[in-house]
Amino acid sequence: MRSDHSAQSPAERNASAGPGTSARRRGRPVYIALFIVLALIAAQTARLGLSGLYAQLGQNETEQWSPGRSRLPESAQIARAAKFYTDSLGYVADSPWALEGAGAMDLARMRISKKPREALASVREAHARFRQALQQRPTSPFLWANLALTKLYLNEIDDELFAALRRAGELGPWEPTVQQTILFVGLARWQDLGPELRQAMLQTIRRGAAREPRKMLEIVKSYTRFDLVCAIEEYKRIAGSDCKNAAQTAKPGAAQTQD
Amino acid sequence: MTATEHLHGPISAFAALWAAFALAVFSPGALAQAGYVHEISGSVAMQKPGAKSAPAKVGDMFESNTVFNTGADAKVVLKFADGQVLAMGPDSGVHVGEYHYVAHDLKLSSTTVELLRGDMRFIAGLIGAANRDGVHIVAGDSLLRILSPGGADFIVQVKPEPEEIGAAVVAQGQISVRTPYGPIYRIDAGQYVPWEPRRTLPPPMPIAAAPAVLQASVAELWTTIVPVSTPVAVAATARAAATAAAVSAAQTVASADTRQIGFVDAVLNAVSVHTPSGKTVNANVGQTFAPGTSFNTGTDGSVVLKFADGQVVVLGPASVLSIDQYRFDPRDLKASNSALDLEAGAMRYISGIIHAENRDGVSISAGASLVDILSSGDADFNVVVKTKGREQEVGIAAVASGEISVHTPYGPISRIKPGEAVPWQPGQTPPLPEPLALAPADAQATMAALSSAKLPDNAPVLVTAAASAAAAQSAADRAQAAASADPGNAQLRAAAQAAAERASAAAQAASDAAQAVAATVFASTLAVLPATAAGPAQAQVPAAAPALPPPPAPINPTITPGGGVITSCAGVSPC
Repeated sequence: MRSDHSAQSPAERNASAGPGTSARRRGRPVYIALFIVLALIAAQTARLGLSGLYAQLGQNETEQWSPGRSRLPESAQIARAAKFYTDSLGYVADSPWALEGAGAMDLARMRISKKPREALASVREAHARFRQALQQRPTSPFLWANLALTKLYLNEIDDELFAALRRAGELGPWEPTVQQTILFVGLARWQDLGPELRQAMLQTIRRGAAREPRKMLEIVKSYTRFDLVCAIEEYKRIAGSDCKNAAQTAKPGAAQTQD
Repeated sequence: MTATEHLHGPISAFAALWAAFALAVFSPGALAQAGYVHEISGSVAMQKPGAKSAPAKVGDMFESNTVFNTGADAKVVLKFADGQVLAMGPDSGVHVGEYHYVAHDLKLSSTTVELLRGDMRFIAGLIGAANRDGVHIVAGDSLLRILSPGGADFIVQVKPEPEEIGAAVVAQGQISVRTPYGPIYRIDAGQYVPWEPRRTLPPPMPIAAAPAVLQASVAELWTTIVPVSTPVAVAATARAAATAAAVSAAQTVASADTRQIGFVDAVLNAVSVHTPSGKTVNANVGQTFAPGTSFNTGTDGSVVLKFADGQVVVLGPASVLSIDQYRFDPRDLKASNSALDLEAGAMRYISGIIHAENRDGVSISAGASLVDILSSGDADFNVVVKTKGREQEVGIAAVASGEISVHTPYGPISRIKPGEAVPWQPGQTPPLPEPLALAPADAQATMAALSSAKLPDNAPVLVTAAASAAAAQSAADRAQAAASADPGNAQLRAAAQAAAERASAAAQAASDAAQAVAATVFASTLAVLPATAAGPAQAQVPAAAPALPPPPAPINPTITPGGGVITSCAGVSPC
């Protein structure tokens, strides 16, 4: 014998359950979907958070070993920092921050390498990472500056290098480290720069006088290009005898070949 | 007096003068050694004038017109008489051209070095410091000159084919380069200049701005440990460098080989070995042993043992020998010692280097008797004891070389010379030594059996290597015997051939290792010699020059601060 309840049609059953029950049942899939969405967002946030955390740890690590910026780090230090960036990329494979950090570690590896093949592989890796990071963040002047540096180390003097120099200067004209990298790369390839880029370089030198002139002068000194800075009062003041000597001596080195 | 006789005097005087001149100019001594190979890693070939190319090794001397070629991943450091140093990188070729070093007049001195390909580091010596015009450095078709007084330290790299590509990096001093594409007037310390076809020469720039490949190859040479650039007496320093290299190799192997003090060189029939851990095993050729080991030859066994210092012991049948103590440190012979105890049986003993350098370090007991070696040179003697307690010992000692004394339970035997023998037995004072031929027949037979064994030499060895060689030789002998027993069996012949090749390779390895140990012993012996008026007895290897600081890095990559949230300094205004 069937019960009364079982004799009811589904519509009747819904009606007898009351309007609240019906709404709850209708809302359940929404809640589940909402829960899934929230869980996904939470997971994604956690992933991003962990990725960012590891990238930050990597950056902290590099800041500890490069305060003077002129001492080469040791391979263990690089490996430790690189591990943080690799972990970061494990959570978000295309994190521009981690890619940039990992690329910087590749360049650091290159600087301490004594094996040409290994050094070349490192700098190629860095180049690929910077390019990938730029796809995510094309407005970072640091990334463009680093890209220019890798092109220099790859000995690839082409439009990509010139574009990277130009973009870095446009996006971070007042960033001291960007200025310094632009100057360093630009002076290394001064002969290959067109008039426009040379002009941009001179502007960078002028702007650098307002930020970290001593560091800029150090770079200029390493290229013996006092002719570019001694007309600027700020540099002239701190260069002292270097500017005087440069004025007295004919252009040193193969200065005859310079413009 | 004939015309000939008239001429004889002047001609002979002229001939004598000519002979003296020729002797001075063309004798091996006159072909002054320009320098020596200070250090090598990897495969390096050296071709002396008029000779075939041969592998170079540390301590080799070379004269003018010698060519060096390094293989992939190889490096070599050459040091010249005036102190000049050349370090070659991998895949490089250098021709050491005319080299004249006149210590008392540097203006007469000159040096020519030609980099054929690859890279080299050049550190000027006295010639470069005092007579820059006497230094000729060629790299491909480029010429390099030292500008700075006092010399220079620089690296030059050249790839001559198909068109020359090169670069010069200066670590210290200043240089100029005349390249096929134009002159580089000056390169200062820390700077480099590349040159390549169809490109205007750039101004000097910091090495940190060089392509990665160049930076890495420069770093390799930059950080190479080189000797100080002071003048050297080539021959003596070369010998010292060779010894130092061998010592270094030996120290590496010796440090890993302190527990194994000897090995079984030959064994006949069953001989049991009682190890310090309490195990008893059968002796096999190539088996190594440690202090505390004892050997028992059973009724018909015999065994030949060789120790690390070269000491050799042969045990006849029914013998028991314990190695109570043994320590051999080729770097410190005074701290080395050996204590053997022949409990019973027959033993032939041949001394090793411990006895030669530290007589007090060797102790040999036979039953209740003690044997002392009196002579300082090699000693070779037999001793046979049959013992049933202190009062029942019967023994005989016979000497083949050296001199010994024996303290028996019945009184001392003060000296036994080569060819003599002395027996001892209960109730009798030991007699005076007499010829071995007068000894009892059974004693003579026992000693003849000991003397007939084929023995290894008594030079120090690296135990593991020598043991492996002995085992390999034993295996080869067995394989050869099997092949000889079945001449038609090609498989056995091939196995014998393979075993012989393995034995040969193992013997070579053992020989190399033994040479390293011998060099260590030699060096430790030199170290204890007193200084002489001419200087310390030890030849001096030049000390390492202070390491160059790593090339400066004006620029390091900077990571976008804060992960890319650029809050300041972007845009057009200063901040």
